[in-house]
Order: sequence, then C-alpha cells, then structure tokens
Amino acid sequence: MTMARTWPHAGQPVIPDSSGDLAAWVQRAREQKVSIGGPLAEHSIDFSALRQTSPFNPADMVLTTGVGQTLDQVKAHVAAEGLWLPLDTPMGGFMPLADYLGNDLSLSWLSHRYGTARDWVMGMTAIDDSGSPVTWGAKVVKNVAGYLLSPLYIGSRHALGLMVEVSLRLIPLPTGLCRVNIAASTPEPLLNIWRGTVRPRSSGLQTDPWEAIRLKGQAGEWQLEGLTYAPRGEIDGWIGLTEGVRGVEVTPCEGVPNEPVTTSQPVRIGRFLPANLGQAIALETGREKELIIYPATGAALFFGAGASPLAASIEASGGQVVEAGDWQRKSSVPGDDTALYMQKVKSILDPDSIFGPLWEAS
Amino acid sequence: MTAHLMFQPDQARQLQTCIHCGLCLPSCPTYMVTGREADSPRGRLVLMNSIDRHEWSDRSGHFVHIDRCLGCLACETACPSGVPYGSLLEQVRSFQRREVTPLKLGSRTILRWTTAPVLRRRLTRLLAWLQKLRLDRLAVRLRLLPRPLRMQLAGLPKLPAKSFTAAAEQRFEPRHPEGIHRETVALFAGCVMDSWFANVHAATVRVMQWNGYTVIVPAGQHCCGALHAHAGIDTATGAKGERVGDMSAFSQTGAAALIVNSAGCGAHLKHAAADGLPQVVDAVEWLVDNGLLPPVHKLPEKVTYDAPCHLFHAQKIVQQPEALLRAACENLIPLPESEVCCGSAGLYSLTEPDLSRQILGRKLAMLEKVDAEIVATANPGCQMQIQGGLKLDGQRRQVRHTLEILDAAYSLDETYRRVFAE
Amino acid sequence: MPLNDSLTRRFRKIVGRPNVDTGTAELLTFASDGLTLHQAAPECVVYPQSTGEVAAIVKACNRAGVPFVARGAGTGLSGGAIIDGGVIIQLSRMNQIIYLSADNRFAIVQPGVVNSYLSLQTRPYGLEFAPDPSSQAACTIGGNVAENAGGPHTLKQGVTLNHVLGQTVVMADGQVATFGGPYLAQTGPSFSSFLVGSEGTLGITTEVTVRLVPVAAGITTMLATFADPAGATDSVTAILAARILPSALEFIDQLCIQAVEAHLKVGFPTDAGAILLIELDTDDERSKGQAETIEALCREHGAIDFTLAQSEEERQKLWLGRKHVAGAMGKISPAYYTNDGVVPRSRLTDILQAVYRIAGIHKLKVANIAHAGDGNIHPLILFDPDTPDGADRALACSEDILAACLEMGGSLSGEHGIGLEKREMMARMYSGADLAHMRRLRNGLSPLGLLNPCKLLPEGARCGEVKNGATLPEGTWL
Repeated sequence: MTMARTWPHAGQPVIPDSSGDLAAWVQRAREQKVSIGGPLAEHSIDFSALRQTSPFNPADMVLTTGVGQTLDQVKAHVAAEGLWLPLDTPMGGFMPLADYLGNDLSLSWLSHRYGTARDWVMGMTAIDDSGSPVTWGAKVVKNVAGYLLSPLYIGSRHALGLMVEVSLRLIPLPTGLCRVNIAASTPEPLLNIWRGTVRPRSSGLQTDPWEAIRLKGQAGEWQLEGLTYAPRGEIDGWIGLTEGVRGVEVTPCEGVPNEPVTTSQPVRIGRFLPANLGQAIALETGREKELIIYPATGAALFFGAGASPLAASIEASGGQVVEAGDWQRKSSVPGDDTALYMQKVKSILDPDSIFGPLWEAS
Repeated sequence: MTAHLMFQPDQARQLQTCIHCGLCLPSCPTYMVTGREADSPRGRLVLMNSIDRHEWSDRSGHFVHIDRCLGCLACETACPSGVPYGSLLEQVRSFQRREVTPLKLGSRTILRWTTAPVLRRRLTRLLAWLQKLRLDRLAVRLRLLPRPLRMQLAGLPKLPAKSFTAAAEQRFEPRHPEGIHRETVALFAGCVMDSWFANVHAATVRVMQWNGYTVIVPAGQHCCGALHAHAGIDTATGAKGERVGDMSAFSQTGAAALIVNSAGCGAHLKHAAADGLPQVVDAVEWLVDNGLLPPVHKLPEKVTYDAPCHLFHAQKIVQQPEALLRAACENLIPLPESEVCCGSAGLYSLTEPDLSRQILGRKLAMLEKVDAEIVATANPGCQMQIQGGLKLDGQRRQVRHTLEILDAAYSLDETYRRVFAE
Repeated sequence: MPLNDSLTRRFRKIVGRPNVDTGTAELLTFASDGLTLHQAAPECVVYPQSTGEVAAIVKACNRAGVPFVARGAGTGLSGGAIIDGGVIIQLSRMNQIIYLSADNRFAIVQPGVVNSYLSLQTRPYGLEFAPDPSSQAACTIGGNVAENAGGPHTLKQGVTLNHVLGQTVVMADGQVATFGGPYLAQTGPSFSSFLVGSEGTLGITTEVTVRLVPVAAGITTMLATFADPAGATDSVTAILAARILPSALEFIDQLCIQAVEAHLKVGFPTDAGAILLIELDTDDERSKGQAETIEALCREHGAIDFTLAQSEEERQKLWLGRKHVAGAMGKISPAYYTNDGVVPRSRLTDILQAVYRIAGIHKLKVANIAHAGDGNIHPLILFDPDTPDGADRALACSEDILAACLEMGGSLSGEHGIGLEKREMMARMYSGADLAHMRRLRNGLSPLGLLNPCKLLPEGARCGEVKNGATLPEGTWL
C-alpha cells in the first residue's frame, strides 16, 4: 500500500520504497504540477530502496534487478554464480544502478573490449510521464522485438522517464587473468609498450591482449594498468628494452578486480582518435593533478577545470572535450545531432515536463 | 493452378527450389553493375515464373532482363539450394526465340559467319588480310567501327595461315623422351578455336604428347552449338551444311576422353553431348587430375589467372587451373574477383554493349591493381574480350590460354624444344 | 493504382531517368524479400546514390503523401523491405566504403555495402566486422543496422547494436541527421543505438560508422555428435555453466544435417540426432584446456563422437554446411518458414521438445537449427505452398512455437525482426502500455506514418489507411 505522503523539503530527495510507490509519486507530481526525477527537477529521487531482484537462474546468464542495487552488489551477486557483468567505472561501483545508468558512468578500462552500459542492457522497465510502468526489450540475451529505448534512457538522467528495473546480459567470469602495472616517469615509454601490443604482427593480424587497459598520470608518475591473460614471459616481451620503464608488477587475480577508484570526480571527458594519442599526450606537461586515458578507446578523464594542453590538443585535432556527465554539450560539437533529437524525444515522451527539463536552456 | 507456358512440370518444380534467400545477388555481374533486382538471378527467376504463368506482355519488360543475363552461372555456384539456373535460362531463351522475339539480324549474322565453315573461312581470310595491312589497328585507332566491334578486332589474336584441323584425321604420338605412354585422347577443335586459335590447339597437343598421351584430331568436326544454345537458337534448324552440334566425328575414335580446351564448348558438351561419345573432359582438368609432369623450369613472368565462367561455374573446375599455373609459373598472382564474368559471354558483348562494357570495366580495374604481365584464361571469348579491353584501355598485358603458358614453361627446357623442333 | 505522375517526374529529376523503375517486370521482382509469404509490389523503385538524393526522395514522398521503405539486398526474413504500393528506396548502389581507419578500428560505409565484402576489405588490416548473419554473403550493412542482425559469432562478439558507433540518417520527414561518431567507447544517450533494430521505421540510414574488431589469431572448431538432440542442448547449458564462452555454439538437427549432406557433403554425420558446432577464438594453451572441458561435458551428456577440425579447409567446410542449412531446405521442401524465437538459455532443451511436439500437432515437418548459446532457435517449418492452407498452417505452427517461447520468458525474435508477420504477436509479449509507449515514440518521430508503414507494431485498421494515402490532408507541404 502506498501511503499518501508530502513532498520532502527542498534539497531532499523523494525516497520511493517500490516501483509502485514511485509510480504514485509521478502521478502525484502530474496532479500537483511538480517536477520530479530529472537533473533540473524540483525533486530528485533516491532509488536505493528499489532493490527487488527477480528470480535468477545463472544458466540463463541474464540478471533482472531493481535499479537500487549498486553496481558492486550486482557484480558480487553474479560472481557468486561464476558470472560477470563486464562494466566498471573509475568513480567506484557503490552507486545504485539508477545513478550509474542514468548518468552513464560506464566509461572504464574495460570499455575498449566490452563497450559501455548500452551494450549490456537487454531490457528495462521505467515509469513514464503518466505514472505507468512501461517495459521494452526482453529478459533474454538476444532480442530484437520492438523498439529498444534503453540507449535513449541511459545517460539521460531520468529526464525521459524513471527506470526501475533492468535486465543485464552476463558472461562467464574470467579466470586466470593477471593484473599488470607498468610504471614510468613519462607517458611515452608506456604508450610505446601499448602500441607494441596492438600493432599488427608478422601474421598480418592485429591482436589485442588486453581485457582492460588504462594509462594514468598523477604527480609526474605514469602507470599503464590493465588485465590480460598473457603469461609473464609474454608481458616481459612487450616491455623488452623500452627505456624509461621504472617498474613492472604482474599479479595473478582471483576473479576480475575493479578499476582503481580515482581520488576525486573527473571534471571533463575528452574523446579523440587513438591514433592521435601520441601527439596529444606529448603536450601534457603534468598540469592535471590526475589524468586517466583509455588509450584504445580514445577517451580521457580530466580532473582539473583549468586550461590543459592535452585538452587543447584534443580539440585542435578534431576531438571533443565535454563536461563529465554533461553529454548534452555534444550539441555544440558540429556534426552530432543527438542533442537535437533527444530534445525531440523529450517532447514526445514527456511533453508536460513531469521530469523537468532535459537540460538548462542555453 | 495455371497451366505452364514453357516449363515442364519437373522444371517448374526446379524453379520452386529457389527460396528467395538472395545469396546469388552479389555474385551476379549485372546486379553488381545495375543494383536492380530484375537484373539479379533471383529477380530473373521471379520473371521466368511470371512468364511461365502467362503474366507477361510485349510491354511488360520481362524479356529485357532475361536478355541482360550473361549466362555466366556464377549464381549456380552461390546458390545454396542448387537451382539449375542455366538450364532454366536456356529453356526461357528458346521459348523467347520461338514465340516472342527472334534473334536479331546482327547476332544471327555473326553466329553464321563464325560457326559455319565456309563463311568462317572467308571471314578469317578477310581479317587476316586486314591484320597483314595493319588496317585493324588503324580501324581501332581511328575509331572507324562501333566500340564493341573495335574491341573484338583489337582482341583478335594474330590469325594463323590455316586452321588446325585438316582434311584427314591427324594422330600425334607421345613424345616424352623417357617413353611415358598413357591413354589416347581425341581433341575437339571447335569453330572459332580451330580457325583463330590454332596455336592453342598446337600447344595443347604438344603438352599432351609430352605428358605421354596419344592425341587424335578427327577430320569432319563441327561447331558444338554452345553459342546457339545460349542464344536460344535451336541448332537442328541451322542452315544448309552447317551441321551445328554434329559430334559424329568422335563416335568411332575409341579415345579415352574427348578433350576440350575451350571452356564454353566444354560446358555445353558435358551438358549436351550424345551417347556413344568419349567422356568430355577439359584439357586442364584432364592433365592435372591424371598427374601433370611438372615443367623443369618455371616461367619467370608474373602471371595472373582469370577464371572463365564456363570453367569455374559451369564445370566447377576451380583448383586445376591454379595447380597447373603454379607448376608452370614462378609468380602466380591472385586476381581479385577472378571468378566474376568479364562480360564476353558469347554474343553478349555485341547484344548488350553497354552492360558488357561496364562489366569489363570492373575486370580491367581489377587487372590494373594486379602487377602481372600475362593474364591466363581458357576460353576464346574471354581471351578476345579481355585482350581487346586491355588494348583499348592502354594496359600492356598479354592474354594467353593456360595451356599456352604451360607449353611456354615446358619450352624453357632444351629437351622439350628439341623434341618438338623436328 | 498508378503512382501519380508528378511524383515520378520529381524522382527522375532527383536521381536521373535511368534510376527510376516503374515497369511491370521491375516492380514484380520487388514484391517480396527473403520472406516469400508476403507478396506486395511497389509502384515505383528509386535508386539514389547519396544522402542528399535520399533526403530529396523522402521529402517528395512526404509532399505527395505516398508511403515509402528503404531496401538493401532484400534478404530479410520478416517482410520488412516490402511495401504494398508506394515507393521502394533501393540502396544497392550506395555500396562504397567511404573511409577505413585501421589504426582507430572503425570504418564509415554506405548502407549498400555487403556484410562479408566489408570484412573482406578490412581483413588485410587484421580487422573485421563481427556480426555474421547466415546471409552475410549478400545482406547489406544498412539492413543489418535496421534489423539489428546477429549471426553465429555474435554469441561472444555481440550483435550489430554493439558494433555501430554512429550513423547518418534521413529521418522520416527528410531531415538529415548525424548521430554518434568514430569513438570506440561512447557514453550518454545514443540516438544511433536506439535506431539500430528499429526496422527502418524511424529513418533511413545512409552512412554507418562501424566498429571493427581484431580477427581472431587462432581458432579451434569442434564438432560434437549426439544421438539425442536433448543431449546436445543439455551440453550447451553445461558448457556455459563451466564458465566457457565459446565464440560460436550452434545446434543442427538431423533433418538439417541430411538436407545439407545430400547437397553439399561437408562431413556432417547423417545418422546423428543432432550436432553442435562449437568454436573458440583462440588456439593457445588456454583454449586447449577449454576444448578438453567441452569434450568431457559433451561426452557426459551423451556425445557419441567429438572431433576437432584439423585444417582451415575443414573448418570452412563445416561453416559452409551451417550457413547453407536454410538453402538446403529448398531441396527437400518447396517452401519453408523460418521461426526466430528466443528462450532463456536454460530452457533450450524444453523449447526444442516443444517445437517437435507442436510441429507434430500441426502435422508439419520441422528442421531445427539454433544459435544455441544465445537461446535463439530457428525452427524451419516446411510446408507446401500449393496446398490451399499450407502457408497458414506453417504460420499457425510458428505462432504456437512463439507462444511457447514467451511462456518460457523469451522473445518473439532474436535477429530477424518483427516486420509484418509477427506484429500482431507483439501484444502477447508486451502490455498495452508498453506498446502505446513505443507507438507514441514512432508517431512522434514519423508523424505522417509514411515510412515503412504496417511493420513492427500491431497496426489494426490504421495500416490500410496509410496504404491509400488517405490520412494526409490535401496539399500537405513539408
């Protein structure tokens, strides 16, 4: 039974205890012309109580769960059955899926091989602007029946509708991975090592031994960190006689370790083509207090708001630098109409702006 | 159910084996060029079915697309359900010639002048005379003729003084110095091959002899009728003295095989040859399948191979030419889209000049990418089409029959030269 | 009903006279795609060669109130590329690879590029386009995007959705829009990903940026033979439960094996009840261990034979056999209908038993192949189209199979799309509110309803109206 409740004080979130309760809040919002959920709505939502997990058969390799479960909880839950959700985040997996997916924080050291959240969400249930639950997709690993709306909802910060349940595709949990950490005082030798591992071999094949990889710079220290199945001997072979390498650590893993968590929130995200990475990073003088680069995907996380030579170089070579979690600034990027059509979708799915605006009017 | 207009019940059933999957589309040279469903094998099967069900009219355009088919049979190779496209096509064309549109005068004339013995002799003499006075080059350079004819003229080999067959049967004994002795085979000389490509026949006989075979070349041979069948012409109604399709010269030879070195003729004869004839085998197929004596020296030139459709698709002879060329050449360079038609296809280059030219253009573009001096093939039509195209395109490459190349490789050996110098 | 002449004239102005077909024969050949149950000829076919031409055609259709649909190679199996009257925008001439960046692992291609041709061109760089539907030798990237195509190797590599980075799209109103870009890891809302699998009902893709993946450096291909199909499906579950994710895991039953062998001779055992074709995308020490585990599990579940392909040639042959199963049906039946249901992986054995049982009830023969690792079944329901109710019985049988899939918690379609023949079944998979939500989005993005009408969602009477162009106010100008 949903109890009639009053709106929380300003700055306090609505805390629904079930999806039915959330639907009631949306209906109430519609009746009382109050906005709820979206990034600029009057009331935000704390999804953490929506933790209902549907019966889970590991053999199906799909988990359907309420969005109140945190990413870490979901991963631990399926790891117990030998399964893996190959998504991660450098921001720490302690946030509920609603926030992880709503803000799409899924860029991680796994992304070059496993993509991002949109690649693993097979179906979703959300509360629409009339307060009714609507479902799309399916609870199986392969489905093309109907429109799949999740790619619109992921990252749109609850402004189209409020996700309450997701179905996630899983794969077997890898075994026998090693964690590799190569340290240097400048980025160049690490970039050379990375390039050496993905360069076409004599067989003409372009291989990629990395399950996860990132390049991290902090206080003049650089590290190439990743996960691989390659044995120690092969790893030593990658490094060879590369000058400037200060140390190599190879540790066998139990399961798959999470990406190390950053010391603070990234402020901007840069996107560029991996092939331009060398020229871009050569300009980086260490002014960023912390810098994470995913070399194979061409993404970089910046932690400082000020001028950055790397960010400038990325923009100069045709890449994008956007505020973290503020994807809509894409609209300022020539040649991408996503923002325009997202606004259109917003006007179709939430014409009365029950969830507040999609973003601030510019 | 509607009565069938042209197909026998079993043919109508064969048409039904098409499951409309579309796997044939990218293999079809005309679809590659036009991107039009009606110019694809699947589309043409739909049209055939529709014709068979009386759904066509003079203005409906069904036969336009049937006419545009090269008959290269690449679709048969691609087809997962084994639709016998070639035989269905011949049935439709035969119906078309009988009931709808007779073959055009130009095509009839060309067929007659190339396949009827007396006329062919006259044409050959005329062309040889043109070549002698270098008028053929002039005609090509000054663009005195329509392009399709110019291309044929440019692609014509240097015409021999006389045809390969003679008034009496010829017999060639094995000539390997170590006395290797194998079966006796009969060589099919054909029409155009006999008059214009006597060199290829000579090379074929030499390599057969060297490999220990006895070759007999019967007198009184006739055109096999492949061109007629592809055009939908009933060979039985040929003109006086034409005797197209008459293979009786071979019925008494007692040969182990009837050797054919022209892919188009081979495909037709395998399909249509009457009982009592020796088994029809392509020359390259015969040599490789029975164990080829590898040449001592390999040709140093860079060679690439363009597969004739009627070898690759119709006869499914895929590995043997490559095996033979690998034995004969030091540098065999793979040709992308080797198995795609060159646009020659019998009379096609004359009846559908625009499409033929576009299809040839794709072939020439592929050849341009490949660093080869010699293009090997095994069919007179392909040889002339590609050679003519290369010449008009300004590419300096020679087109040769596979067996000429083998013969040239053997000739690098002194013994071979000595044996056949006599 | 002849198309209005001024529209045809407009098309001729846009693309040139030879690129507009209105002849009886030409139109007839466009009456069906890979699904022959539905036959409906268009009134006009237009062959554009650029995004600008497509946009101009779409705007002209909108002005005239005439429905239109984009088409590639017409290999689709749900009738998605046909239209009853109206205009087909045929994209086969837009078949260029516009840009290939091996270093950055992406390519920008036109929609008419053939799937396997793309990989053929990228393989010299050690890269390929991962989705590999059985029709890959003919189907086009545009169609793959529209249907969110799968294939055997999408078990590990993911489906088309996971390999499309961006698109240029002509929207239903003729506006040109670009979504996404060449960056390999994209976050935030993606209009491009949303369009993948929308069956060409929301826009016409005219350029696609695809992700390319490294070609596997080594491959291990295994063939497991079972007397009993249930042993094969149980093995699938066991392999995945052993934490092994093969790159492909295919099920083929006896009738399929026999049809293929009668025609191709690829080396499938004709006396087997079913076989599994299993592939690992490595051939190192780790994969040797995995192969041994797989063999042990198969034998435990009743495999009577288990072999490893010893050469690339042998491997190619096995896959040739798999990819020709559907084609070989042409040899044993004049017609068949391909079901594309999905079940949770653990229910694979149950659904196959249900399929045989349901076929028996309908007195129809059914040959089964399945992307078993994905739980995606492809019962090929054989029927005789010349008997009066042949097709109807096949469809009824397929509906019962799909109902069984839904009952087990599955889906109506894994990779072929809803298209025409399954759209009324959508109401069994989704609630009225779910469908209304999808409908709302479609109506919002395609307000005139002219783009590929009658597909994907249950339409009811609405469809007939669109067909006749009657929903449009006179003189609508867009």
